[in-house]
Amino acid sequence: MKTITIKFLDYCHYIFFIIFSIIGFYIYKDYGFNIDETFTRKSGLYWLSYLADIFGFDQIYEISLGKINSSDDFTIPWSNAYGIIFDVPAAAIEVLFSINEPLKIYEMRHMLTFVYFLVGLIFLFKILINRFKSKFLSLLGCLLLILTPRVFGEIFHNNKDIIFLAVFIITIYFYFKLVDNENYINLIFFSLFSAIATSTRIFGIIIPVVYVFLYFLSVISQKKDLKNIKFLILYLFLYLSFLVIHWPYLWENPIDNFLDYIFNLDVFGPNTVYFLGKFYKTSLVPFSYLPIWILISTPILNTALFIFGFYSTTKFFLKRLFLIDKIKSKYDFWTNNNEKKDFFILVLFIVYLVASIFLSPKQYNGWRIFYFLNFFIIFYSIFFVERFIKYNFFKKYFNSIVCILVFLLTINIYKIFIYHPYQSYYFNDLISKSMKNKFEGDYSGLSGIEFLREITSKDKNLNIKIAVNSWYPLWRMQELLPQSDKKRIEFVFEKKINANYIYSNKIYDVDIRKSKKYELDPSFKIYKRYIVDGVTIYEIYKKD
Amino acid sequence: MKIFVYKSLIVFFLVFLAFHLTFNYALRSLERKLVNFTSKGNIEFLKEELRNQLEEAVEKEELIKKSDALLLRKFLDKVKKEIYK
Repeated sequence: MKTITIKFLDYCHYIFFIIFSIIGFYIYKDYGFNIDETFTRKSGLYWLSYLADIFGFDQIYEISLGKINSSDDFTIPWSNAYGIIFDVPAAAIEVLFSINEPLKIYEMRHMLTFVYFLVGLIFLFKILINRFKSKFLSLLGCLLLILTPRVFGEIFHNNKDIIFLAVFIITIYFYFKLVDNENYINLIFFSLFSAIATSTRIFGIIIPVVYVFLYFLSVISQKKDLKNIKFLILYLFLYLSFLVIHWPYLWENPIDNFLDYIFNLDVFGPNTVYFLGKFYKTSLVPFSYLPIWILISTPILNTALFIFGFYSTTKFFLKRLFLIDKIKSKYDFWTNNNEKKDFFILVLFIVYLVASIFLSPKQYNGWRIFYFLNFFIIFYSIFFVERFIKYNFFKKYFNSIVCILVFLLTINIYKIFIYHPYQSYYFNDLISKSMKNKFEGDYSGLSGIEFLREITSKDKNLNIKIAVNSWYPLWRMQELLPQSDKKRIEFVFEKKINANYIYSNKIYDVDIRKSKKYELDPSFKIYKRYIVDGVTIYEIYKKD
Repeated sequence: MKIFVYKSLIVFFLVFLAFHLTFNYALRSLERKLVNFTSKGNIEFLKEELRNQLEEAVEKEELIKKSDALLLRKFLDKVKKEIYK
């Protein structure tokens, strides 16, 4: 019996990842289609055709070019500056496997997004094993991440922020490997993934900056470390080389294009955001925007563990800082590799948090752009749990605390279940149901396809006129319907009064309290309001 | 030397935070108010409000109180008298 238990513990992480993969591959088709997907698809096809042209793959070039030309309108200005780490492989699969049916194309992309996340999750497991040397804690960390409803809901369709989360985790893993063993292989991988992280999201650029900063601190402590500068220069050289090599956007005019990308970040995304019941210009949201979003949409368990973990790490390093002239260890801020890793994570997190709150050119769509911060939430949560177990805090209440943890994890599972497939719009119980609607809901437009499927199944008329009463290109979803239903749908753009149904996901580009743009004719009455846990996902109006 | 470097880093960080939490905070609030006030949406809203107020006023039987009307008439007469003096 004991042998069986030991064997089970040896393989429990395989079982965990297999079960999670099965769940993912089973439900990935349930999700709607993200408003950004047409954009990222076009970006992938654009770069695929560019690469095929350069390397002489004529057939691929022609097919991808044909597909770009058939792409329709986009709500955000077209830019070829996005990194290619997800978009080109997705476009290549589409072209090479001749996937031409729109529904199949998007389903394939959703599956691929999930695969990227899965790889990131495996690396999260490896990071936690590397740092905490405990399979139980590592699996708990992975479980906390996948049971974060906003993350779970995005891993099937968000092919920007989830890809960045995965790449970010892999980069941190190779940093940890480099700290353990400063060899060229680890350095190459760390620089490669730092470059990929930078091209995926510009926040990735902070990783090399913090790496250089830590080197600077180590030189202050130990002048002998100055001889390692060759290693640092090699890192920067490899980082810049990989950045240019893997990002075709930089091939023609690397410096200008890179600067152009950094200084034009504010062209992306909407101009208006709904926050705390008010409309704000996305570049002028209050500084409390990100902290409030994190607080209300992260499970209470994760937030509580994170606060304790972050507090104990910060306290530890602040103590070292205040006693710096009494410290006799080789380095001022760390005595061993684990402390160096913790210090790197702490500095990285503080820089990200401060930069996100004060320097971000725009804030919109909840906090999806900053979902990579979930890595820090998980890391500090596990940090605290490790301390909790190691130092036997509250020994008397240990069992009760474990019961509370299990209970809170069960609540997360329950929330994922009831929100399905809209976990992306989850709010925790720190805010009331009425307050939940004072924040943006379906900003990704996931509900569009569900609405169209519902209307075409309920209304058997040969011509169904549909209008949209929110800032959302619902007409893009038409191509995802079966041919017979596609023909029956007609979109009304100018005179909404002629429509049979009006759809709204309650996302607006103007302040609706002041503008009449989205005012409805009184002849339209509410037909259905889709509400999950108090959050209005979409509304349908029908003519009386 | 190293203590000086650490202290400089801390001071820099604190000044950065203080700048954003005070000056930049106030500036951003002001900019937000200005942008909101001059936005197309707000101008449309104000126009509409003005239109509604005018319509309401036109529909009223008595626009100005009798005493106010008398006062205004006296004032205008006085102005007229002074202009043509």
